[in-house]
Amino acid sequence: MKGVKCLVLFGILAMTAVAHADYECSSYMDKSAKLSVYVNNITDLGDTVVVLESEDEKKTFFGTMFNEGGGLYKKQIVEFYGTNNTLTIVSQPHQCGRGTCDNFATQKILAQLKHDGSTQNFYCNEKKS
Amino acid sequence: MGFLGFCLNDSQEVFIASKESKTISGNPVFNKITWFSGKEKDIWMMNQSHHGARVSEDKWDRLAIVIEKTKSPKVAKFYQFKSGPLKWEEKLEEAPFKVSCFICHPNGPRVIRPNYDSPLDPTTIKDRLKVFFWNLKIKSYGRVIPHKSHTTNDKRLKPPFRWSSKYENEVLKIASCIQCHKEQGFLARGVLTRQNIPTIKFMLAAGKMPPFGFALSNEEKHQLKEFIQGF
Repeated sequence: MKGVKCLVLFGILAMTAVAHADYECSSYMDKSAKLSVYVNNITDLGDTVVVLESEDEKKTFFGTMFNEGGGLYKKQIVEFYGTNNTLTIVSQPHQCGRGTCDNFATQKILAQLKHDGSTQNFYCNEKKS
Repeated sequence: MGFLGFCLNDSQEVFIASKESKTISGNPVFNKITWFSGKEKDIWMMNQSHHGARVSEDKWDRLAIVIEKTKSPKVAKFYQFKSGPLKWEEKLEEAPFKVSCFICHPNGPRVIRPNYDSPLDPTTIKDRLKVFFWNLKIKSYGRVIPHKSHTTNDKRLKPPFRWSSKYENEVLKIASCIQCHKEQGFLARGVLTRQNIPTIKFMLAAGKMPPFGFALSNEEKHQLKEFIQGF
């Protein structure tokens, strides 16, 4: 059974290595740290795969995504399998104010990764379908 | 007092470049504003141009906020009409909202903020006096809630008057802010929610908030930053 799970995981990793992430994020602080988020990537451990890469390491997280909001502001929370760690992705319109709101403009997307007691913030771009 | 009355009741429109509104490309937005006072209602009307100050009438968005003064708290109904003059009559032809009114108007009409520093500022001294007195009038309303018809109509509108999701309606709970941004009590101006972030950002950047005599602690500044970021 363990062997099967390993195969599944390796398969997913191989797939994510070539697939385009739904979100590509860069850290505010550590320019070398990058985050790739693959939504609707269903495994035994959830529907979302998150890959964190920095100069020293590469970590992969598996979890399930929950959506809040939608019309103007959107919040997506990925709860990582078997831990209290989370990735929160928030989207809001770039340009929206008194009398002006371009609902169809590119969204400003930020992400916050909480894992092992640390918090990292990222700017993100969404893959255009 | 006579002069004050003249300024408040003269329904001749005021023409301003807005300090807060900008077009998508960052250019000035121009507003022509007037108001009419009745026994039971105040009617604020505005023509707004995102295409410059001197464009044909059909390029202006015609908007109105009607305040029901006999209710407590006062009630505001928001309208977007087909383009036309700033003349109020019942059953003007309505148009879809171009933007959700509630983003900027969680408490009815807001203080008029002309950009007097703009080289395109078209105001006269008389206009400036009117704006000053009209702003006193607006502030005197206190708590203003949206008309209940907006909730019903929102089910079929996009954009709606107010975005309805739980996330977009998460309330700002910072102690210094909720001294006024609360639903009831002394100085209540209504709670602020996540969908009000664009306005919150403008008010902070323009130095209008927190108001004179109030200040945010470092912890509150951090909380506010997180709220504005959306976390």
